[in-house]
Amino acid sequence: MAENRIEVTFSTTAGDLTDFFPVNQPLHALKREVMARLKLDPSQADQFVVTLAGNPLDEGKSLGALGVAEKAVLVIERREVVKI
Amino acid sequence: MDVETVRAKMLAQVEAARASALARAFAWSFDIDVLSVYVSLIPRRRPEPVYLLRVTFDDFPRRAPSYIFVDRTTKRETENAWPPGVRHGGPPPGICTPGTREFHEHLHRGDSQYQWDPDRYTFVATLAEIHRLTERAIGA
Repeated sequence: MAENRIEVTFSTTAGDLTDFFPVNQPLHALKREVMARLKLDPSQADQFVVTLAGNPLDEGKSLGALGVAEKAVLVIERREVVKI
Repeated sequence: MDVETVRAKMLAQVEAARASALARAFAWSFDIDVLSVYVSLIPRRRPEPVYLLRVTFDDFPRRAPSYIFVDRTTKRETENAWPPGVRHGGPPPGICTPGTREFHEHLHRGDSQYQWDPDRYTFVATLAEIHRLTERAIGA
């Protein structure tokens, strides 16, 4: 049976990635995949959070469980702001 | 570098930011005035308060752009135009984050860890950090 997917854009300061992502996969796994595809080091994934409309998402949940809508823009951003 | 070349390089930075999905996520709009760009920063989780950031690209990319909060109505520099706790140093006041002229030339002048690099500290990346810094400052 074909995996259920929705179109989502992940956005970072290094670029954007729009694709069809599985709705049942945990977000933390998608984050690592997206970071790798954007040439960001996935081993640093814990330093980044995924937000929707400024709200950090529970990365243990899937896009489906989080109710992420088709064509949503999710931002992968640093956990802490860069303030020296 | 002549003004037209600097302006072309500024417009390339603005276009890259406008094309980024971050512009949608942060609801940025860009108002260009010669070598300056005005960007309204609206917290993502609530509609107020709104701050107006003026980014001046004179001498870009040799020097980092200047990022200063200005009054939303008059577009003049005032202390009240700044989010609480974001205004550092002065004169001139600045935002203490890499990518801003005030950071590289004043607040962290001579800091070899954070030398100005236009390819590393792009407009879109610096803008996103300042937006997040502003949200953090107002507890949004």
